[in-house]
Amino acid sequence: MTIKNTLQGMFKFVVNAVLLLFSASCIFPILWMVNSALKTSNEFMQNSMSLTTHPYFQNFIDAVQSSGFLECFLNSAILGFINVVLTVICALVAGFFISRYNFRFKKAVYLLFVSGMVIPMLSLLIPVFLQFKALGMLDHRWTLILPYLAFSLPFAVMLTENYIRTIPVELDEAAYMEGCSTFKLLTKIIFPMCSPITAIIVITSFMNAWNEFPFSLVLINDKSLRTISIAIRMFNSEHAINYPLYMAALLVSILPILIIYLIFSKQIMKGMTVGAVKG
Amino acid sequence: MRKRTQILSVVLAAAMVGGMLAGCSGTEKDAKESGAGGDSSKTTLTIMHMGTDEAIKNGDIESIMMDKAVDNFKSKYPDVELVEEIVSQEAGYETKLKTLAAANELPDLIMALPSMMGSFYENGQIQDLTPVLEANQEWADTFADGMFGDYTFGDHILGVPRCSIVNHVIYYNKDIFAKCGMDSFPANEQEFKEAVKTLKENGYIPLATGNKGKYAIASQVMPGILMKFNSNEWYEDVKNYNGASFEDESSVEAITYLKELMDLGLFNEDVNSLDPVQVRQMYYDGKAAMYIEGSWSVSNLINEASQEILDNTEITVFPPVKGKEELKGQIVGGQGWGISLREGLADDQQEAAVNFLKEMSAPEIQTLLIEGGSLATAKEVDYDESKLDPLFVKFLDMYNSYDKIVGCPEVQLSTAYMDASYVGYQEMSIGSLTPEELAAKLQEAHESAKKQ
Repeated sequence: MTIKNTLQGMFKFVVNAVLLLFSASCIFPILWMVNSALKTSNEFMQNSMSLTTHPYFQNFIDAVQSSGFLECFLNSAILGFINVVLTVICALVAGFFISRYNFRFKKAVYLLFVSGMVIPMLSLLIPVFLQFKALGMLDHRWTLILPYLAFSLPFAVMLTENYIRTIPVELDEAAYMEGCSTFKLLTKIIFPMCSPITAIIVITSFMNAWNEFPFSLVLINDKSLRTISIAIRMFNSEHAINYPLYMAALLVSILPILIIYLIFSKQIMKGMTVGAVKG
Repeated sequence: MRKRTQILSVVLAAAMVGGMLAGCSGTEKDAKESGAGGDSSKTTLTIMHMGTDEAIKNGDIESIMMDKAVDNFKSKYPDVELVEEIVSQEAGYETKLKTLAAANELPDLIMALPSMMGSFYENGQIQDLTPVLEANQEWADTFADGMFGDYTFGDHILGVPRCSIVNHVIYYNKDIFAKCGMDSFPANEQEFKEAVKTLKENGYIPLATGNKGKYAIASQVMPGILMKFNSNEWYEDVKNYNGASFEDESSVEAITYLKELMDLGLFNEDVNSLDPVQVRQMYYDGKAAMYIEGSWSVSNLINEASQEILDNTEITVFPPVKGKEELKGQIVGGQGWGISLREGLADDQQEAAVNFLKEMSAPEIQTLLIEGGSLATAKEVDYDESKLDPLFVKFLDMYNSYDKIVGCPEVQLSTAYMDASYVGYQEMSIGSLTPEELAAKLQEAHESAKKQ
């Protein structure tokens, strides 16, 4: 019995040690970034792996104050927020009608939405540029909303359509019998039930907008309208880079994603396991 | 009832889309009127370049020089509205430039590589500047000989240089060489090979190189070796399809020599995953005996390396090849990124654009370049010698000891060749291509540009 306990204890220890090492390998790059962000440029160039002896917080201040960083940060935050709101509304409404109603070209409409997932984004760069140019839509505060919405919707519509299909139709019928309108059915019954997938849509659509690079690069010329993905890369020029400043800027730029993930983490976990076990 | 709802939906949807488009286009028009081209009495000129604020703060002399030229132009020509779009190379400058070119929407002044200029010109997107230079002979004469070499395509000059560069400079730590029993830099290619072996045996990285962007081996290391095995005449014949080829014996010999050096461990093991800025640190830490980058990096070393490293640093290029001593005066260089003018500029824009080019090569800018640690483009430059860093003086001495500047294939030939060479040398470095296969691939890419 004692030997068995000892062996079990050793096994647990080894497993935990392996998992700990694995976790350390995942967290190491982040810790390295934090450490590097707290060094001066010279300190970093002398030895990039050494621990900082005198944390240099000025990098964070300089990064935020550097030309246009804050403006780009806010631009991305606004675009991300608008993208989230529009994607959630459009996806839930589209998903509801596609899953609940039979109408002509229903499959074609669904296919049109979902096909967006298989089209490589970069192949659309030039056509979208030409189209926006012709329509006079370049270089405007709202220029990027349409492309971002278009990139976020396919996945979101697929998710909502599949999820709403698992909600019993009897619920709708009961609501209608009680005199509920379609609008009320959507807002009071169906949408609240979709909260686990809504959380996933929120984080993916925000990340889509926050991380998007090529369209922001090509469709926007005005420095004051640039997004964070462009601002970050501006710290990195071909011949000269201040790495600590770059790391500080990167750390600041991942904050919104981190905060959104922390807010919705429980819902996301729920969303991921939805449908996994049916009883 | 149902039909009425359907019609209403369609009408509302159409109104929404219409409103959106009208709103967007209307506001863009407003923005243009109040912004770039706001004052109708002003000539508007657009320029796209890479001189970001961050690069300027980090002491990048090419960015500082562009910034100064723009400032000087703006104060000298207040009647011209110069609208800058600044995108760093890492932020996708080339992607943006190529997308704008594909959409035929290039800015008025374009910072481009010679390899891009050829195709832009063929597509009627940039001007032949030969007539401009001929009409402004006095200004054209201020440039040193060969300063339009990278931008000359047949009888056409398609760009004006910002500065002059040497594609590869080898910085070596004489203290490490001495510790490994070498009192001087290898005198020929065989001695260089031996030096690589010795340095490796003593635990040093022989030549720190950052090939993450794929260009370091292809456009810095390789041209330096290639032009020690081949003459400039051979290269011109290759370039102009006059019978010479990358598959010629001397060219394959050069590629094979590089492969042998790679097999001996010339580069750091992570050569393909680090960028030049990251590998500089290996040199600063004393882990690498040599470091290779273009001449623009002299100012970076001056700003970043410790005094001890700077004191021990000497500057050179690849040594000559035994039996080919007649080629030892050749050094690979050029002008790199230059400025071209868009085709179809209005008369006032053309005049303003030419004035900008003149401002970019003005004496004040030339002085700034030299004192900032870069090579100028003018024949004569007035500068204060006491302002030059000792490392830059060493570089100038080395540069002046060579009498022939030879062009770099990766800069001057087509983008098809450039892409093939970038990928090819990386593939050879990981052993998936033999030197002969690579030579064939390079020639094939070069020929493909001719067919187009």
